[in-house]
Amino acid sequence: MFKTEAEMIQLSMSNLKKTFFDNDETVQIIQEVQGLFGIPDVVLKADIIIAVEYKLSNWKKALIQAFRYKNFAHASFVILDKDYYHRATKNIDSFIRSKVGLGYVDETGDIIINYNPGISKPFSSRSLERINHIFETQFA
Amino acid sequence: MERVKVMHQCGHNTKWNIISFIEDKIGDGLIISPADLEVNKVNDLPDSVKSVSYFDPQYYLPTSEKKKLNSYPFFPKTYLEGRQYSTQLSYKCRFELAKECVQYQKNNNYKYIVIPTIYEENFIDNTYDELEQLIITPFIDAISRLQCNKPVLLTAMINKNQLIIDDMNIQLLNFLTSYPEIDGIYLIPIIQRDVSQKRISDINLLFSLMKTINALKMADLEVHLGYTDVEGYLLTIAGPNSISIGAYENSRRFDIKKFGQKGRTQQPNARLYSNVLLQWIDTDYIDSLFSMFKKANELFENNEYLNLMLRTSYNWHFTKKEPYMHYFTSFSHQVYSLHNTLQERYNDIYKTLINAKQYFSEISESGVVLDAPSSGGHIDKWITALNRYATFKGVRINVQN
Repeated sequence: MFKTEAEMIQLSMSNLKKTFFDNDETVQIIQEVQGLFGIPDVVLKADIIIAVEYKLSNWKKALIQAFRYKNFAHASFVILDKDYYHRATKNIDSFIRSKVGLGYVDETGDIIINYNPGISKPFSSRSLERINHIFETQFA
Repeated sequence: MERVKVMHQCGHNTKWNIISFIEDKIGDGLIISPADLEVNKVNDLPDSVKSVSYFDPQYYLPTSEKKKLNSYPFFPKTYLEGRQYSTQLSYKCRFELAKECVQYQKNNNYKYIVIPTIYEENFIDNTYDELEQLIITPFIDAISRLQCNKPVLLTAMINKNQLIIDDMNIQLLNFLTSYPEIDGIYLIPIIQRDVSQKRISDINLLFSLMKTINALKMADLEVHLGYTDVEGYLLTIAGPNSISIGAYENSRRFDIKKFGQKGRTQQPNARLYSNVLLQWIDTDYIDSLFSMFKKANELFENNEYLNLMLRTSYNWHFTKKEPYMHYFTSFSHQVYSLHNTLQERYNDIYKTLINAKQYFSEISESGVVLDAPSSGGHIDKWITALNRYATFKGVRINVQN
């Protein structure tokens, strides 16, 4: 459906707050966050931190990346193109086992979450400090 | 089979190797790297260290401008003061150069006299002739004239083609076994692979390397493997006299760039060696492993360096010494625990590999998703290479994988 990952992100970007924070206006968003374990496409921060990894089709690679973000995030999601999403759902057990969320972007840019792992404490307090510092610097 | 020795492949921060060797009593000696240590610092090493170590003259790039290499008066670039190091070089000059290098090694009372080699991207037929004329003959002559009674090692680099193409492999073996003056080979495998591919996973390549080591041993040559990483553990099945341990990755995987001009390289993530998984694990996984995998504390040898690193205040970074000191200790213990008959050593390695496979499976079941460089993708291939070599040698193999 989408030609590029960037196109998918652009179309769905405005729906991220609605999907993960019920349109909370205090949510801060940073794209392509550097200086962490991997480079998450999007990180959202309000009272908790959510990391999002977009991929057109390669769910395995996305799962590896999204799992890394659990070092600093309270929840981490893989968001795929709707057309390729069914491949990942066949392997939903891998997402459940790793407590990594899974969803897709439809043709209108809406984000539909199929599996929500809930929130959990980030693995690394040092990484959490680092991401908080990145947000503080960016939104100072 | 003899006990396999473990040599410190010195590199950046050679002091870590020295501390590990002298204070922690890890390893059997050092392979001294002039590219990383200036001549006066090498000269200051205690005699007790030098006498069990050897000095790699590192002529890989004879015109290298690396400052530390050029602090050695017998390094070709220094010695020739800008003249081209090639077949055009005068016969007399080559012999003088070799004499100085041998004299230096003799004066320092190293365990071996090492004959260097030159790095060649593509080996062609006359490369061997060139090596013989430029280096080997002058060095053998110098060793004889200086009446050295030390055993002699010839440095040999071996690339993928020389391993897997039969004709090229035979040509190389013929070359290496043709000098009665030489007691052993300092063998450096040059296995190009993607930087994210941490382990060598090519079954053919591993099997061919094992066969090559075996062929050299059968020719009554010592085999000292240089620039080896975790693969060294698997390769002990072929009975090398020593394998190497190194700190930074460029001392565990030969990279010619190390000997050229300094370029900017991306900083690697810190990694911690797991003797159970036979893999270096990205330290960004440590917290998730300890949170999700109940047996995480079984993955890493519990030596003094692990205790230091697992403190919450420890800041992982690839330039810190503790992960490497931990590896030196852990890996050498693992190698020293191997038995010294072929069948027993096969059983030891096989058991370790099967155990690693089981642990990787349990880690996956716990929900931890390891990326390729930290994963166990190599284990099944290593089991296959091990079994293939064991079959080749007539060893009874296990089939429970």
